[in-house]
Parts: sequence; structure tokens; C-alpha cells
Amino acid sequence: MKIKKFIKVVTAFIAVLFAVYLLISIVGTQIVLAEVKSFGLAVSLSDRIAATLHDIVGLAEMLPWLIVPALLVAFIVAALGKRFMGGNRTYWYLAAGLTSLPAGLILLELVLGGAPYAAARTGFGLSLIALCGMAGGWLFARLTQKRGALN
Amino acid sequence: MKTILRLCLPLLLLNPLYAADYRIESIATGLSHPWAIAFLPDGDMLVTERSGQLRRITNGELKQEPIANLPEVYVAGQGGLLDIILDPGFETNRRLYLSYSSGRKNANALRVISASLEGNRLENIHALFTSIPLRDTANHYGGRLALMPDQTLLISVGEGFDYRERAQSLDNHFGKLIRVNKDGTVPENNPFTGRDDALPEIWSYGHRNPQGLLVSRDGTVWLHEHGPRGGDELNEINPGKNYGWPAITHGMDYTGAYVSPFTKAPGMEQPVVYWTPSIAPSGFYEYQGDAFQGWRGNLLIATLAERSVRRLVLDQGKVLSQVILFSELGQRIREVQAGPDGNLYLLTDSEEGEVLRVSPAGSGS
Repeated sequence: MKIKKFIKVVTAFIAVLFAVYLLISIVGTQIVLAEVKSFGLAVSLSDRIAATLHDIVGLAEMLPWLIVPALLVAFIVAALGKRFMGGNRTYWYLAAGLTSLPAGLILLELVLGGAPYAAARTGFGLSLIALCGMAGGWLFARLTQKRGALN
Repeated sequence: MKTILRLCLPLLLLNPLYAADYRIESIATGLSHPWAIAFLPDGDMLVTERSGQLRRITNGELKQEPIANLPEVYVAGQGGLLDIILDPGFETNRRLYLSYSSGRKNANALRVISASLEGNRLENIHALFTSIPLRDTANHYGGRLALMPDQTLLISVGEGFDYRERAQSLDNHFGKLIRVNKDGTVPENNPFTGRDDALPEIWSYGHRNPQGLLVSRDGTVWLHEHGPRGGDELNEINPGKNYGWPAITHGMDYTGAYVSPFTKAPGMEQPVVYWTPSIAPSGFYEYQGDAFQGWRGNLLIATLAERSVRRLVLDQGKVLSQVILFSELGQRIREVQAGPDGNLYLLTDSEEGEVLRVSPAGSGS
């Protein structure tokens, strides 16, 4: 039974990683393209699609190094928080997802001496990335929910 | 036979074929990230260390005592004491120009001063330029200096890494080439003089991290700049022009994502040549010496990532060929200059940096 639960949690985590990866990549590309447009360049729909697909592939080298540890730590903290402090399980994961990526990005910035992900340099960009993490938290809470449980 | 020669020629051009034709010797060691070198009329050399010291080499000996009375330098990341050039009238006026990062972690800038070298001290220090607005990063300062034939001073300023979009607007100094008079005032014939939306000292814009600046013998202004991941550029600079960063680029972000999906756009200049993968161009020199006569008029580019000096053969502003030199050293090379003796001097970039002299094999020097 425990193994089954473990497999379910791991599978859910992997699914969330993929979902958050895609969300961040898509959002990040749109932020960068908005900057490019602000310089007076026309960005067509085909440019946008090609750039989005390019970045989904291109970010594979770097983005997992941010997402995997950030969400792993955040979800462990959420699980422990729920266990020892109680409260609404979904809210714990929403909060964990929301804070995980900004925390990871800020930590990386301190180490690297510059913003590691261009799309997250502004408050607006960082907020959107945080929302991607929050969506991941919500998805993880849903996928690991016990059948019939109300959080 | 001719066919074999034709097939071999490109290989020869790409190899350090002059390995047997030159000799490399160490002139000074133990320099902390040496950044720039200047040759004094009396034969001494001045070397900037990024860690904030200006050092003198006399008769091949690095003096332990650094030049005194330097302004306070903000040393962090890529910042510190950067370039040095001598005034053409140095022999009589003792003036020199220095660039460095100044300020503190959350509010720093690129600054350029002039000063006179009196013995082992700087005196009569005047701030000529301080980049605005202040920044909270310690990357991409640019920091190279060059004098134009009309004795105005060019200053390359980087875009501060986190401020890349601002390279496209003219109300700031990020990602700009600046032109000022030697007293810091702005020449009246700068391209944006009189415009309300632009700082008058801007000469060109749309640059990333320009660490190579050169006014060639024919007056052409050359600038090379680090790209992000690929897209290092050599540009021929014309006043008022936009060199594109970050609206167009041949490089990618370090993450692997686009900085921009575009490599060209109307109203934005194309590089004369670009390098992908990055070679990390740093120093810049137009060789006009006698020691390597076959290199006269060639551009020499020191590289950090490629650990070499690129020798560019040009014809009418076009790069005909490139030769990779000194890669056998395996050293990051920050700067390349020729001394008054015509020999080349290289600065290696490390905590234990060196000044190396390259002379023709068999020469007496």
C-alpha cells in the first residue's frame, strides 16, 4: 500500500514538473517577446509559436535545475506543515508552489550575481513565474488527494 | 600538388601556424586579473589589476608598491579597475585616463577619470564621466577607452546584465558608446545633441558588454562586444547608429531561451562578423609594428573563452580571414597590445595573471 502511495506521489510530482516547466517556458517567452515588441519590432503569430517551441526545447538544460529542487523542497515543507500544523492541504501546496520558484530564483541570483532567468527580472515577470509555481502546487494537491477526501 | 595545397590552406589558416615563428616569455607574474596595459615613454609599463591596483613594471620587474592615490574602486564581480590609456601628450603633461567601477553593491557605476602621474602617485584627478543611472549589479561594465583623432574620448559602457532593455533607450548609459571631450564636457557635434529624449554624450547604442574599443589608423571606430551564449560581435561604429542589442542578436540567453528571435531589423546595424559559439572577446589592438611585418593593419582580439588571440585580416572593412594565435598557452587572454618595440604584450586573466611578451623567434628582445 505504501509503495502504491509512493508511486502515486512520485508520478504526480513528475507530472507537475512537466506542467510547471511548460508553463514557465511559455510565459517566459511571451514576456521576452513583449520586450522585443516594445522596441518596435513586429512579432507575428508564427514568430510567437516558433519562439515558444524553441524555448521549450532550449530551456531543457537549465530550467529543471531550478524547478526540481525548488518544488521538491517546497512540497516537502508543505507536507510537513500540513502534518504538524494542520490546515487546508490544498492551501499548503498552493503557498508552497507560489513561493518556491521566486525563492529559488532569488537564491540563484545571489549565487550567480545576476538574474538567472531573464523573464523573471521584473516584479511582474517574477509574479507570473510565481503563479506558474502556484498552479503546480494546486495540481500536485489534486493529483495526490485521497479519493473522497476534502483536503 | 596544387590541389593538395588548396585543400591544406584552410587548415593552415586555422592553426597556430606561427608557433615556430615567435617566442613567448613572461615579463611579470602575480598580477591579480590584469586588465589593461600602457607603455610609458621611459620604457616602464603600467598595468591595471581588476582588484583595484595600478602597478608599474620597470626593466621587466613588477614593482611591489602600487601607484598611490587611486580613487576608491568598487571591486566585485566583473567590476574593479579596468582600462588605462595615456594622453598623446603624456610626455609633457603626464595625463592618463582610467576607467573603473565606483560606488557600492546596490548603487554603482562605471566612472572615468583623468589624472597626472607624478612619480608613483596620481595627482590632479578629475572625474570625466560617471554612468547613469546607478545599478545594483556587478556585471557588464564595458569600460574600454579610446581617443579619436580629434582628441575626444570614447568610453564603452555595458548594459549591466539585468538592464539589457535599456540599451535600446537613449535616456541612460546602459549599453552605449559615449563620446566626451578630455575635460568631460560633451562635444557639440555628438549625434544626439539637442534631443530632449537623449543624453547628449551618447555616440552609439544597442551594445551589450563592449570590452574592445579601437580607433584604427584610418579613423575607423571598431568595437567588439560579448554576446550571451554565442553572438559575440565585431562592429564598425558610426555615430548615432543602433547596434541592436537586445532587439536583435545572433546569440541565445544563457538559459537556452531566445533573447530575441530576430537577428536583423530595419534601422539596426549588423555586425561585421559574429562568433557562435562565443570566443569572449576582451582586448583589441590594430597591429602597426615592425616585429611582425606580415600582420600590419591586422586587428588582434584577445579572447577569454577561446583562450587565444584572433588575428583578423581585413580588406575595406570586411574580414577576409581569421587566424587563432597563442592557443597553446591555454590561458584566458584579457588584453593584447603592442609595445613601442613592436612586440606583442598579452595579459592573462587569472588571480595569478601574467604579462607575456611575444617577439619574433630569433629576435634579440
